[in-house]
Amino acid sequence: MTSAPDAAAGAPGPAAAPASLSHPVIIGVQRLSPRVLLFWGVPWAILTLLVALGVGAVGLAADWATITIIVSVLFALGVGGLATVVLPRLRYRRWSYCVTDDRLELSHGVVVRVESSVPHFRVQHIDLRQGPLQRLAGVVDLQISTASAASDATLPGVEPERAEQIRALVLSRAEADDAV
Amino acid sequence: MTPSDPAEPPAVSHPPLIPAAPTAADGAAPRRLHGLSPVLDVFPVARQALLPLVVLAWSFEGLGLGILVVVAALFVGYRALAWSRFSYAVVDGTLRIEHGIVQRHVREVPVTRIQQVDLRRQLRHRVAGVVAVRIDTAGGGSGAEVVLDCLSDAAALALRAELLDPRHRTEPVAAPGSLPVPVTHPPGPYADGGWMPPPPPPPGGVGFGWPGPPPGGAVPGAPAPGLYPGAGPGFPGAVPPVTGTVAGQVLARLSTRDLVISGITGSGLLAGLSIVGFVFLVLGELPDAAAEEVGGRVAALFGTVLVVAVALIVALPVFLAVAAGASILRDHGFTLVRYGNDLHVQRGLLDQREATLALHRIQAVWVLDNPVRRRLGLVSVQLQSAGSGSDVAGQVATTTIPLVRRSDLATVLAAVLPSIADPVGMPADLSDAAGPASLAHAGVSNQADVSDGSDPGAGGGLADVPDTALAAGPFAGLPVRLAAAPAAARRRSVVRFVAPVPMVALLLGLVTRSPWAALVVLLAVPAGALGLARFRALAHGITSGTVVARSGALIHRTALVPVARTQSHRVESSPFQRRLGLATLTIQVAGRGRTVALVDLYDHRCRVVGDHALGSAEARRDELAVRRRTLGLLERSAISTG
Repeated sequence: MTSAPDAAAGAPGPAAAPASLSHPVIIGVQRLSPRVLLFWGVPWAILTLLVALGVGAVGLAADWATITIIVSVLFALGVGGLATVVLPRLRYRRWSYCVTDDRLELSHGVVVRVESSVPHFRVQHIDLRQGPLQRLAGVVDLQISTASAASDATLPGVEPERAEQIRALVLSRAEADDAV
Repeated sequence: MTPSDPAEPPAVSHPPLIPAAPTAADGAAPRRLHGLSPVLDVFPVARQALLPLVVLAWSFEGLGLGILVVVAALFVGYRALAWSRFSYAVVDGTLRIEHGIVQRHVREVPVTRIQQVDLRRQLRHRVAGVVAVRIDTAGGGSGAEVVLDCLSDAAALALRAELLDPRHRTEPVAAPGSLPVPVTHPPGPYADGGWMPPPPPPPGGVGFGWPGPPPGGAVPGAPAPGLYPGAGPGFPGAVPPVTGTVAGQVLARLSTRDLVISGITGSGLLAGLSIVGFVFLVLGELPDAAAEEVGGRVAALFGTVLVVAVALIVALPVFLAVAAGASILRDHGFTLVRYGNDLHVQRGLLDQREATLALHRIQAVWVLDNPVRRRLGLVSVQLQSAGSGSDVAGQVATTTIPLVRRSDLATVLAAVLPSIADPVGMPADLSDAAGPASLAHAGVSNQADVSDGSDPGAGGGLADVPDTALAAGPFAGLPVRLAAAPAAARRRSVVRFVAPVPMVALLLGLVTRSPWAALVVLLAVPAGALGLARFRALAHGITSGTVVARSGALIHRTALVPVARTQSHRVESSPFQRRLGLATLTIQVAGRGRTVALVDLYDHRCRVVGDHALGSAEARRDELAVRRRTLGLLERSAISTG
C-alpha cells in the first residue's frame, strides 16, 4: 500500500509521510531536536559579519560618503541577520526522519528536496559525532554508513537518547553479510 | 544411536571443525618469492624516477653513468634484503605472509575470506618467466589486497589452486553440535575441476602460456560445453570453447579485428589526442627561436591554411592507428568465460592479466555505445564491482568487455546478471498520478526513437508483454522493455542544453568586446538538438530482479542494477522539477562506483521504483537468507542443548 505522492512543495509542519511507507512504523515521523537552531545560525552570522566588514572596507577604500558606508553596512547586517534567523528555521522545518520496520527514511532540503531511504539490513556501521557546538547545544550527529560511499544517511542533530534508541534499533536489524 | 530411535538425529559423521594439518605436499613450508624479484622490483621504481635519474646522469657528464649504476646496485641490494625476509605459506587454512626488514610484519588471512586471485604478467614478468599474483580478501581498508610480485608460473598456479581449493571453503562454525555449512566453490577451469593446469601441450602450440587450445584442435573426449539455463542459443562469435576444460560458457572472445574495430569506434580515440598534446608540449619546450624557425619554414613551404588541412588529414589515420594499437595492447586475446558463479577474464598483449570475478560481486552492469557504434550494432559492457571487500574505501573494479554485438547482448546479460532472465513483472501500482495518458503503463510511448530500430507500434504496457517476449526489445538489444521519460522532461532537457549558450555569448562579448560574439548564439541550434537527443535516450524499466536506467545524449549509458545489490536510494527534486511533478531517483550500490540515476521521472514512479529496488522480495533475498540461517542455527543449538 502506498500513500499519495508528496507533490505539495510548500507543506507546512512536519513533511508529509514519505510515500513508500508500506511497512510497520517504529518511530513515527520526527523532526530533529529544536536545539539545533541554537547553532545552525552560526555560519550565517559569521558570513554576515564578514560581508559587512568587507562592505565597510570597500567603502572606505573607494572613498564613499560616510552616510553611504553606514547605510550599506547596516543593509548588509540587516540582510545577513534576516538570513541568520530565517534560513535555519526553514531548514529545520524541512528536516524529518522516520524509522520503519525495515528502513530509515530521511527527508530534508529547502531548495533541492532530498528523500533518502536506507534499509537496516544494509547498514555497515553507525557513528555518533558531537562537535563543540553540538556539545554546547546537547545534540549529536548520527551518521549511518552502508557499503556504498554515496549513501547519504546523516541525522545532523538529534537528542542523545533518541540517537541511542535509533542506533540500537538499526544495529539489531543490521545483519549485513560479507556477501557484498 | 539405533535407526529405530526416531528422537535421535541420524548418524552423520561431522567433518572436523578445523581442517586437518596439511601435509608437506600442501606446501606448508614458507616459500620465498622468485629469485629475480629484487631485480624486477627496479623497473616500476625506475619508471617513476626516470626523469630525475636522466637529469642526474646528464648533469654529471662522465660520472653520471657511474652514479646511476651505483644507485641501482644499492637499490637491488636493499630489495634483495627485503626479498630474503619475505615469505608466504598456506598453513592450516590461512595464508600467512611474513615480511619486513626492521619491523617484522605477519599477516594471516583465512583462506575462506579470499575473494579472488588474479594473475598478471607485465613485460618484465614475461621476460623473466614469472607471474605477479594479486589476492583480494574480503577484509576492508588498506590491507585488503596482497600482491606477490614475482612467482614462477608453477608456484603461482599452485598457490591459486591452494587458495581456491574447495577443501578450504568449509566455514568452521562455533556452535557445538551444528553442522559446518560448506560453501561450495565452483570448479576451476581445468579438466579435473581444479585450478591447476594440465601438463603443457607439445611445443609449438600454446602462445603466451595461457591454457589455450592444443594445436591439433579439440581434444577428443573433452566434455561438450554446457549451456546454463536462461542463456540464448549459441555462443557469441561461434568459436569452439577452450578445450581441456570443464563446461564453461564463453561469453566473449575477441579477435584482433574485433579489437581494432573497438579501438577505432570507441573512446580510445582520445589516446590519439594525448599524442597531439605531447607534440605541443615538446614544441613548447623548444627555445623560442627554434620553434619560430620550424614554424616559419613549414609555413613558408605551404601557407598556414594548407598546413592545418594537411595536418588534420595526416593526423586522422594516426589517431585511428594509435587508438587501435592501444586497444590491441590492452585487450589482446580477450576471453570472458563463466564457470558456475565465477567469471574468468583473460586479456592483454604485453601486460597480460587473468582475473576472476564472482557473479555476486557485480554491483551494476553498464552498457555503453556511441553514435558510430550504434550504427554498426555494437556496444561495450562494463561490469562494476565493489572491489576488495565490503569496506567503503575499497576501490572500484570495472571489468570491461570492449565489444559485444547487439545480437549477443541478451545472452551476455543473462549470463552475467541472472536476475534479468526473470519474467518481466511490474508492481501493480505503476500508473502515473499525473501525466499524459500514454504513460498509463510503462511502455514505449516515444515514437521518435526509430533510430534504435524500434518498431513504432510497440506501445502498450509491460503488463501486456508475455513472458516469452524477452527477445531484443526496442532499446538497443536489451532483453527488457523500457519506458520513455515523460514528455514534461523534454523541455527540461532542451532548456538545460540551450540555456548556457546565450550566457556564454554574453561573457564572450564582454571579454572580447566584439559583436561577432553574438554569432555564438547560433550554437543554440545544435545544443537544442543535443537536448532532444538526451531526452529521447532517457528510459527506464524494471524486472522482478533488476532496475534498468538509460541516459546520455550522444553516448548512451544503460545501467542495469540487480536489486539484490542496492544499498540505498534517494529521491531528489529541484524546484524546476517539482513544478512539473518530476524527480530524480538515484540508487546507490556498494563501493565508490557511479551511482545509477533515473532522471526526470514522475515523482510517484520514482518512489515505486525505489521501493521495488529496496523492498521487493528479490531485493531482500540476502536478508531473508541470513535470517533463515540465523534462525536455523538457533534452533539447532536449542535442540542440542535443550
